[in-house]
Amino acid sequence: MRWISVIGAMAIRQLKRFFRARARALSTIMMPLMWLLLFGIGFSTAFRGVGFRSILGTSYISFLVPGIVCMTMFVSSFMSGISVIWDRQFGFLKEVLVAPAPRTFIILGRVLGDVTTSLIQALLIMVIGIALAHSLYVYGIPVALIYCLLLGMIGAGLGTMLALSINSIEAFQALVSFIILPLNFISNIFYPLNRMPTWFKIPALLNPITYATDALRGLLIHRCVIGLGIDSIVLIVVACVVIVLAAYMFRRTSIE
Amino acid sequence: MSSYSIVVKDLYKRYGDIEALRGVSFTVRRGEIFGLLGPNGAGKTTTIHILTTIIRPTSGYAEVAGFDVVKYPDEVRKRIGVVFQDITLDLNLTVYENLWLHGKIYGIPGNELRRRIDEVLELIELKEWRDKLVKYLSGGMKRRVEIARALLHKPEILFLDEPTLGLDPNSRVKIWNYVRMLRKEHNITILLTTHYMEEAEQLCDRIAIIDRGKIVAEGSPDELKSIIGREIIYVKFVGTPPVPLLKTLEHVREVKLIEGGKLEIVVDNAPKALPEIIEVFHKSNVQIEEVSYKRPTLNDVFVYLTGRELREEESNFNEHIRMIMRKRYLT
Repeated sequence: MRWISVIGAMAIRQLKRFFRARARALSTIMMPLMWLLLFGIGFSTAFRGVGFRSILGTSYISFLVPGIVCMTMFVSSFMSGISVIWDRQFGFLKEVLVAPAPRTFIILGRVLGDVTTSLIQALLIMVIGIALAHSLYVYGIPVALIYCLLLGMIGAGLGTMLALSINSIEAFQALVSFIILPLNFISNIFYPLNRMPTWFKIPALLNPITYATDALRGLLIHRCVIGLGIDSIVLIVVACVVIVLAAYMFRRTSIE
Repeated sequence: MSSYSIVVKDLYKRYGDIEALRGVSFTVRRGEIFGLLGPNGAGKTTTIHILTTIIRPTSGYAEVAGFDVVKYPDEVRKRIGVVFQDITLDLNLTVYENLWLHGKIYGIPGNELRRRIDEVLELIELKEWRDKLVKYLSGGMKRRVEIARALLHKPEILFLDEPTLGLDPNSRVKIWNYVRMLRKEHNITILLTTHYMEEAEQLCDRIAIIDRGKIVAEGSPDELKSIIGREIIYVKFVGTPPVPLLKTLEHVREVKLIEGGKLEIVVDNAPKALPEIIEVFHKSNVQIEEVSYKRPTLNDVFVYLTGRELREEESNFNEHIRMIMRKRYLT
């Protein structure tokens, strides 16, 4: 049972750090909020009408909310990988590396803590989104959060892997915009999958965010394109692979 | 159980073209305070990192608490407490939370953990600070918290890498007192590195002098000083000194008249030579006004062995830079 205590302690540590850095918490939630308020309201007022409604099956803002929730989840958990670099620079990594606890549990605890903080943000965006769009199915939220969790594991795992391979805050921040922006746009967050040309659809279907967004649309606006079954399988498999790889990399990390 | 806590044999560590360690060997006995003394860049920290399992040696063998550090790192990790040279606390957690996290990672059960945290906070005299964020603590306090944390899981061996680097004299003395107490009351084996010779001399039962990746001498402070094999006694006198008689004494090597009416007597064993010298003066009816005696320092030993000062200008400069860097990170 010792592993529960290690995972739990590391998760609690990540949560405590998150809630102590309120400015940072606020800034990570600001970006998706801007998208939702400025872009979402702007677009939904510009593209009103029967044609749009028949393509999306709902108003643009209702269509956008599940996408922005997934965006919040992915970006926030991906960014949390940076704490590995902070820990290396501030020395705390050594404390962990010299401990007898299996490093897999350490990294699992970190990911779990980071995903929890991202879930809180995603839930907040979801609530704001529902208030704005008021045509979403609220009873879909609990299951939607499970898909968010899977997407968060993928994001946190990828972020951790990037952090472990570059070890520089500046490089991480520079690379994040290169990675996050295309990942958000080459997906179904902003536009429907079934209207994409094939050359765009293929990279979008290689992006895990697409499956999470599809699942959330299925649950919150009852508009699933890929199907919850495939969404679940893809997200679970990718999450497992990413976490295993991140744990492998963390096990091999040293201070050299 | 072996009587050695740490056995190091012919350890090499290469970083690209740089050889940080070039055949380091030494042994640390159970229950002693052992010091690795040497200038910056000598390989002290690299040695500590290998012994605490966070880097691997290029070649050679190291055993800590009876386990090979390369083959059984987890067995070693369970039995050691480490205070690294740079602060490794989570600055955004409180003192208590840092200790709690450590305890959880080391698998100490809840009630026991709370009791032990109180215990170690008592030991380092920081009980009133337990709920303060670590980032608001002074450098000396942070170091004390690190010592407390390293003791939480009751290690057999404690590693301290430059434990008083950059601390004010008060904090330094406090840490020295903790180290002495730990050895005395808890019977912990302690390996510390330092480039302060007073520290090595004050604290350590035995010392290994390390320079450029090699151990150049190993022994108690007295043993090391006797490597030089000479001590100097100065005698201020009134009258004619009994020089020929002095030269016949067993431990006297050289006798020289120097400025200020003083005699410089080079001996190989001052405690034995001194009474004999005084007796010779007494018998010759020459009055002694003043006797002083210069023991070789560990710095003299280092110069004797390596031809260089233990603390050179360059290393002072490096240390200065390091202090600036450290301050930047810590505040």
